[in-house]
Amino acid sequence: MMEEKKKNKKYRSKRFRRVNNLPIEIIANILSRLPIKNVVGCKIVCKSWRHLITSDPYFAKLHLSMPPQQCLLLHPSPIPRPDDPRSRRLYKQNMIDLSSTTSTTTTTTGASSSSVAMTIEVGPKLDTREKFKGDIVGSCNGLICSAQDCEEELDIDASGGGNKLGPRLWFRVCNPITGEYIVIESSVRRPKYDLYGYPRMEFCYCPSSDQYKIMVQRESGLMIHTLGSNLWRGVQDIPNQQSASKAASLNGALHWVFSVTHRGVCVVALDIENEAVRFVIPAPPKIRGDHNVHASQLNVSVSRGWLTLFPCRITQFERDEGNGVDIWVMKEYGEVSSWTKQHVVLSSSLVGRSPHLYRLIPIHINTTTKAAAALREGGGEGGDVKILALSQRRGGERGVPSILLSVDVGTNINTAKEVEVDVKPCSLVIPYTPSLLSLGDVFAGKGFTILKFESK
Amino acid sequence: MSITTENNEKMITLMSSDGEEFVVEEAVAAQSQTIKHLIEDGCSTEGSIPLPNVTGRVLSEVIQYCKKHSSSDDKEEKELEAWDAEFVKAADDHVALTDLMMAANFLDIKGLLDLVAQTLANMITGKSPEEVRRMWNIKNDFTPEEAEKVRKENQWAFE
Repeated sequence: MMEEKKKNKKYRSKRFRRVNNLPIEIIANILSRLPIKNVVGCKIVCKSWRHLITSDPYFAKLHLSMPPQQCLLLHPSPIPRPDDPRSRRLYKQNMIDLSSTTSTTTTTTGASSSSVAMTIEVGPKLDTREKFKGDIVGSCNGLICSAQDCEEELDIDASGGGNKLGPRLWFRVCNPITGEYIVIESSVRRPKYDLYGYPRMEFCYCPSSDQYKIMVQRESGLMIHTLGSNLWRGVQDIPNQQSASKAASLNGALHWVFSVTHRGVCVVALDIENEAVRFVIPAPPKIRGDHNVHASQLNVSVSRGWLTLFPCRITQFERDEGNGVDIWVMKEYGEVSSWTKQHVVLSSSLVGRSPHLYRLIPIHINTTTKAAAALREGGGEGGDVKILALSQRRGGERGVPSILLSVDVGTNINTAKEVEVDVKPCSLVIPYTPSLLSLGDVFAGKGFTILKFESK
Repeated sequence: MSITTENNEKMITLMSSDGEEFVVEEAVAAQSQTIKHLIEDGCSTEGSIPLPNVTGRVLSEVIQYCKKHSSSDDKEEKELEAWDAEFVKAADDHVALTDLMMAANFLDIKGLLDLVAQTLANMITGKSPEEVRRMWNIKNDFTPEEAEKVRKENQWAFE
């Protein structure tokens, strides 16, 4: 018996020795699956792990190719007010991690929320230019692009007609996880704010050319800048219109909903690489015909390779069909005949309240690396469309909670998973997936100076 | 259950590092890209395929996995998931799982590699750095000053 035990111990210690010599590819495979906080925490395990996590571009890409950790950045104040100090506090963003909530399947009302809220830095703390307004442009591949006014707003109308010339912008692209950022100065002027206080700007990634681009909507057209170049190129075919949501990225194109002359509400696809309109496709006839809907009342989103359209408020045009929301799915990309409707019944807690209490915000992941894009978009039959029902009004002491809806559009299930999330009313919401991509690798040889945040 | 495959299927022999022999259907073994390539290169025609990196104990587990996954079709996805969950549970501890992962890596079986890596990742999620080191017997090679620096630079991750 004793001998047996001894032998066993010896055997185990021998095994442990071998485990200690785990090939780095095995460690990379395991660590790349951890939530971002745990990956970063593992830097302190030993030097080889720190090197892997901090400086290995292969590991950063592997981590990015794993199923995403979906987070939301919550900008405190959507409509900037000069007297509101929060609207200038661009360097700090509140972030909540949705992945911990979405894994909990809750279908009933009164769901308890467990979203993890934390604050992350997206820029250096003190900058003289912080005295002007700033906005988040967007996020992809874990990089966050923000835009900062670099001068006061100018009045161009001497008569005081209220015509304002937007201030010139400078942009900052950062990875809050690595603490790096770059600055892009421009002479492009800030666009007008849309219905919900978003300036019409986009930050996107083109997998085929491995380039990042910033787009700014001006009256004259869409201005596009490829990071690393000095040019801003204008595309005139994109209408300067109000829209409800940020563009949805799919198949190398950005998609918006616009009202097009003589054609009504349409989905417009802009090829990110070629910077040209790929197609203009009418929205489903029911949306255009029966309800006389304007483009600014529709959200465009994407889920596993499908474009989806849904209204930006609950009970906007579903009165005749019971309480819920219509989600239109384009089952064949670019095929107008393939629009398919799924009517989703919502719980009474959502629709029982004032119909305008909730704004619906699409939560989609902008395409990332080629591998990740295939993984996330190619995923077979099923696919959840994620929608944040953002509470618009405080109600009583606790306030009205926001709710994350998850709708499986791959099946005929007509109910949504509903999970309460801790998102305060009136926040600007930007989907964000943390990554370990180093700006030094992403923008290598493009002439940028990579800056680091000062540590606290 | 099905007799026809018994008769029609080509069998091959795999030999573990400790000399144990396993006779399996070629379709089962070919889930390993490594073995598939060996078969394609004609290495299986005479005798058995030696697998010097995999012990008999681990190889039998690997074969169990491959058998299950070659006989199931897509309809049984749910059932297969449940089977996978039981399979990794039976592997008992992180040492056995790590052995299994090394084998899956060497044999190039993507499904098994993903399954085990995810299981190990779930095991270390939320563990302290000290606990992670103990799990794999990793030596802390940071000086206290260096450790403090890493901690400070990534403070949010340690809060």
